Amino acid sequence: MTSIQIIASIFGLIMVYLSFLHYKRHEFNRYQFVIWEILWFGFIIVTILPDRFNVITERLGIARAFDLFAIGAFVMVLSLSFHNYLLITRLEKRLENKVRQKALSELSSIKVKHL
Amino acid sequence: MSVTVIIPAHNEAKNIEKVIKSTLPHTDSIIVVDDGSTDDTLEKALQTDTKVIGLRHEVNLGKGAALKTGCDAARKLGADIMVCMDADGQHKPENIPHFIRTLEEKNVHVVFGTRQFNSNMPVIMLLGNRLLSKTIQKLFRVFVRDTQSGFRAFTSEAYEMLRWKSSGYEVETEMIIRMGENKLKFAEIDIDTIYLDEYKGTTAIDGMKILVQILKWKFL
Repeated sequence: MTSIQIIASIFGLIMVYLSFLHYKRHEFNRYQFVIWEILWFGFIIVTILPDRFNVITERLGIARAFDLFAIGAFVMVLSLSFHNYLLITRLEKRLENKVRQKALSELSSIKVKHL
Repeated sequence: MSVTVIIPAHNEAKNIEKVIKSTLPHTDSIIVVDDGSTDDTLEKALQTDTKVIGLRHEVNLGKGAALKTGCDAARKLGADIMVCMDADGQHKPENIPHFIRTLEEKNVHVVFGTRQFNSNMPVIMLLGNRLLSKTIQKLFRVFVRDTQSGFRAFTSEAYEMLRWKSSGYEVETEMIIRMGENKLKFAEIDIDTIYLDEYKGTTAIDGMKILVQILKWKFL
């Protein structure tokens, strides 16, 4: 194993542990936990055994397993960004509605003398 | 005709008292919307006079959201005319009667305060304001000279059609676009160009965001 493979594997193992930790803290449900664990174990396997993926890379016309991994990671980052964008927009709207509703609910308790 | 001035404020404890005191003679009531201030803006505002109605956003949502809360409150309280004004003292309350007179005499729905694009305006703001105003004129065929001025007045009926979705500084632009879409009549009056704090209010980045938003409204 090369040094970069060792570093990447350690990183993968740390992420496996962190995913497990978030699951135990009930911040991930079981479905999310399984998805993230598959992802990080997949990452470790690709890192340690890149040659095993030659069949796939050759079929896709990609030179190396690392390139396949980089493309996959890029696609995943893009889809996660899109998902996060939608989520944040939705949360912003909900927060704005709640905060404004609360501010306006104070109106009923205000005595208006000049309208 | 009851007139309500709506003042969105964020960390304006230093200025709010003075702004309210100089506004009081020209209006029936004032609604201050404290937009998540970390200082005592709202407390200072409420201490100034009993005509002041204070509403608080627990977190900072932006000028558009604060203005909307203020205008919704004014509508609930039965205001006939709403005047939007900034809390930092860059708008002169002495102009309010002029806004009201223009609304009534010219029989329009909206009156915009128009600043002179002169040396009182920082160069970057001058260029940005010109660019945004020209873009809106070209894309939406609404010929408001100073599209980014926040000093404006409108009737309660007009507010129903102007009611915006923007929570940030895009609010001024969205109001103009909605006004154009609903074919509301408008007039402009000259107001002084005053810039008091170069670190508060809209920045060049906000200007870019507004420009992107304008393109989204037009093309998406």
